[in-house]
Amino acid sequence: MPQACSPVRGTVAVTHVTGPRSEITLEVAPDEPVFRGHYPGHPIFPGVCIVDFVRRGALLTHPEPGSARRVTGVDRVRFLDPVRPGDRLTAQLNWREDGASWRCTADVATERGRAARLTLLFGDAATEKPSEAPPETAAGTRAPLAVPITPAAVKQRIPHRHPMLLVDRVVGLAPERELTALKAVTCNEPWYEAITDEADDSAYDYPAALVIESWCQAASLLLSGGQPTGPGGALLLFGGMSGVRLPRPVRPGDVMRHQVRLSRSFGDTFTFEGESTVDGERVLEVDQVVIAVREPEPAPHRAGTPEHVRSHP
Amino acid sequence: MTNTAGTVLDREDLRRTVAHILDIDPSQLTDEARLQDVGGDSLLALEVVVVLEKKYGVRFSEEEMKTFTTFSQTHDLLAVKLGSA
Repeated sequence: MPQACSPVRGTVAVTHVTGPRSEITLEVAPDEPVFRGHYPGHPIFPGVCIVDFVRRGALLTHPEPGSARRVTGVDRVRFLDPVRPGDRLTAQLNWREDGASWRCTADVATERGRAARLTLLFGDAATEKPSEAPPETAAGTRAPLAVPITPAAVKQRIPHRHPMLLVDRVVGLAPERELTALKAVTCNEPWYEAITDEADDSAYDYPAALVIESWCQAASLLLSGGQPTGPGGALLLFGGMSGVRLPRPVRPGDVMRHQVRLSRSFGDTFTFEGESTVDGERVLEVDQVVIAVREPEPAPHRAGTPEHVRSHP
Repeated sequence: MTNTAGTVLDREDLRRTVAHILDIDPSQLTDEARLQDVGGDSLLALEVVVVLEKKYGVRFSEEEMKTFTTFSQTHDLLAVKLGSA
């Protein structure tokens, strides 16, 4: 089975397969590397790592293993309940052919109940034509910052830390409207360590989950309005994403340029859209992500700003 | 039924659209069921609003959003906005 890098170190197991339906599991070990940075003192399994767990299990149960191995889109993803160290994730997968692509829908649960629901689209890297970005995203940003927001300043605004801090620099910001941020991809990132010398180039595809996570962190920065928020700051609740497309892979040496735009706001709930480009070519398109801002509860054990935590108002 | 520039409101097409966002089968989205009883919550309600705004070329106010309790109410409000009531 071809190698692919993953932010999740644990092993994904297939417990049964019946035609297009299968069940996969993952023990979320407390020493998963992502927990150190997501978040310090407040470990929550990143929602995008749930997506990556589904991706890996899907590849193990792919009805046509020789083709359509790259995640070309995420149709809908909703996070319903946080996943924590020690949880056992179980997902029911259902495959469906869709023209030249394959769709895999997953219902993910922990022992406590439903955790997430998502649909991944798989296609062939070879058949994806690079889409053309409109000139304004290739040339520059409409609201350039004279002084970019650098990692030290980013850390004052979002709680993510190594190895899950996936924004390097904010180069454009129009508060409450749009933001432009950069993230460089390097083969020295921790998830590439497991790739052996025999792996081919496709093993170096930056995980779709992390392309999306990086863009979402940029969206979080737009919400924080560029203002510092510390522990006890507002909670960001990701309701879900839809219409996510990944036209071409991201590889070491690429610098992702994320564009995030606020499309709609209702009180303290916001929807964002945008895209990411590498050298002017689109690598990510996001039709819609819904984020709610909630004031934190006063209890000390809720300090921090957990993302991907669903509220049940 | 033909849609002309998205202004003709097909009830069953709307039902399928809303059911897709709520991740349920259209048959579960009955006219009078409360959206929150079939899996909707405040964040999903916003997704429904944004998708409907894009699909039908309308805009809802926060006040109007609060009236989206059942599918029937959603349909009727949208029909009024589209002038097809």
